Amino acid sequence: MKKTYYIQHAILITGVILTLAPFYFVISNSIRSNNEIFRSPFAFPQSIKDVFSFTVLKLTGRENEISYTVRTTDGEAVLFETRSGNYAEAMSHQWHTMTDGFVYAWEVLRQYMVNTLFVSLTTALGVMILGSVTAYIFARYRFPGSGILFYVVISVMMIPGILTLVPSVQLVTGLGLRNSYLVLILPYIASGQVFAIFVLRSFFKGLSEDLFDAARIDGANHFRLYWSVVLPLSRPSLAVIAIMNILGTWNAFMWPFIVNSDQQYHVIASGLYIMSTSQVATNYSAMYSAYLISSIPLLLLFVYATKPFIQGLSSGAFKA
Amino acid sequence: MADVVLKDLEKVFDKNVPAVRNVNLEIKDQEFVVLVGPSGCGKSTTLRMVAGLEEVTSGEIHIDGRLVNDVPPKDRDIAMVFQNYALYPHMTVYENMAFGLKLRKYPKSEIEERVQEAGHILGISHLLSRKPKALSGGERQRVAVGRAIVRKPKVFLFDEPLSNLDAKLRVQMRTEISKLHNKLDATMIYVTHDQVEAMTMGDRIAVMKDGRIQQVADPIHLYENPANRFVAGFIGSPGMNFLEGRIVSDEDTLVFDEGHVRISLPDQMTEAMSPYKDKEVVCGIRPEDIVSINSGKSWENPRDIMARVEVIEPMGSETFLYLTTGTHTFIAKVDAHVEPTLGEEMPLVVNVDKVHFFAKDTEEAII
Repeated sequence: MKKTYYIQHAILITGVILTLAPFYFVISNSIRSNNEIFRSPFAFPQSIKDVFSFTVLKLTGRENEISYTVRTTDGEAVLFETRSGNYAEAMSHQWHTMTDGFVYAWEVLRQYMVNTLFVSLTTALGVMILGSVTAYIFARYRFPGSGILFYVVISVMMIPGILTLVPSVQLVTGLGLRNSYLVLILPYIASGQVFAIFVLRSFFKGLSEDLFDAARIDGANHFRLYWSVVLPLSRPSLAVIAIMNILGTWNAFMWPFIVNSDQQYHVIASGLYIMSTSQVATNYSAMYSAYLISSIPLLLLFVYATKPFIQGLSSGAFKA
Repeated sequence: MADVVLKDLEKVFDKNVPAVRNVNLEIKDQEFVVLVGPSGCGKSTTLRMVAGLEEVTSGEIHIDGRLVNDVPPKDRDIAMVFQNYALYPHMTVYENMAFGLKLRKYPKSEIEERVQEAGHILGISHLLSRKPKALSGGERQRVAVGRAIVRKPKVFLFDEPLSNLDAKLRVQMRTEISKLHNKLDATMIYVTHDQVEAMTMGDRIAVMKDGRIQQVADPIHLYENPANRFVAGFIGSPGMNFLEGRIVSDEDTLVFDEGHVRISLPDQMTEAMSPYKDKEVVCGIRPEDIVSINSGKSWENPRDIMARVEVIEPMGSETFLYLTTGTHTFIAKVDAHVEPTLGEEMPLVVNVDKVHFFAKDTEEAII
């Protein structure tokens, strides 16, 4: 009994280490200088060690024992200068070592981040509005052919996106949409809607019929029903759709890379790729910082949206 | 307040399933009418047609003298209370009650006033800021009723509002709805499958079966003069006993002959029953009209019968006996102090003046 307990823990701990190792690798390298990374890619960041040891020296009254190396340039030549003594200057030096990569990466990424944020939020909003209206109609209106139409819409989910890549590019080229935000937003909304319709329709159908009757007697028309009753109740499902869409948009690489060649409209994934093929590629510290920066918004999204996300995913399954 | 008239009302669902057939009912202003019947009898469909939630296949619905067949629910000036409350889960109690008024663009001060008043009447003033999920079943149903009364509609419709409550709460809410009816002087139509609710609440009861109204009458009349076997069996708890047999003549009196049990009919029944001489009929006897022989009841026309005791159900105030004649099983409601033994052949007395007879083929009441 006890033995299996240890084995289980060993397996789980290994799993945790394997999962967290890449995070450690990216985070630690993002705050290290390129020199340090070249010397040993897996070592613990020297700057953190230094901050710790300098602080100990300062607190124990041995500030004069502080000593660190500064890399400077004199024309072509690279000089290494050893400085010592001043705690404040030493700390500021460490701070710069840690943040240099981020400052550089942010310079490059800022426009991409803004673009991605704008495109993903607009897309999510568009998908939620159009998807919920369509789903509401499929769930609450009966019109000839509604069943068939619904399955036609749903069947689009079965077509792999890569298959429609070439005609899609031709289409947006023909429409003159290349190199714009619209070339991202419009196709994303169109394709994101299908999943939204699928999820929301079954959610709307699961709502109590009496609720709709009560609202009709209360005097609600279809818009009121949709806006004041159905939408507020669908918050968990809408959260699922928003998260899935933002995630998809954030990670999309192929489409934005193909349809937008203008630097101005690049999004994070294509931007990172371009960054990694430019001269910045050798600045590892900056590259790791860029990776970290680009994934922070998604991490935040997950931290704050996990609960509604799980609720939304299981709402159909566990409803009585 | 208003009267409601249903004229030749019919409802046929898709695939030609008739749900309501030829329903005619006049509900007077301020009357409390109960539609009662087993599930699938069309009572809820009838109510939903009055509400406008279900389209009318044919016939007419008039509310306050106005033909409302094509009037949408919100313009019929009705309010409805549903079995599962149908409260808006994301709104507070206050918002739930105010929603209808808000949509009708009432001024804020009046909404506030009406909601507070309804909250006061129903004793839910302290719950106004809560969401439905933080309420008990009884409280939720009060909110649902509150949502109806804030609108001050002409007609209240109740669709099995107490079915989801536990037995004790159901009894309590029953009296509260009756009180509410007296207080509001409103026309109310109440649908239930529970004959006790129907008997205790209704000014009049319409018993339905298979989409048709079987009988409309006040509770006592319905109990004492059921129009057919179905109504007789549906109203009353425990239900009426039915014994199938023949009417035969024994010298100059008519006798109901069940095989084992023979009941001679009193003279006043002779005229009505003589056409059924030598024909099959169904005899209906209410459990309280069969008592043990030494019960001390002084009936004008008692008739002795013998039956064997199969099950004894003591209720405290009285005892239900499940008896068998050999061919039929029936229930007698006897005094609690009567203590028969199982399997005993027991002498009983039937109050023959209260006995009902139904034609076997049509099931219509003869007497």
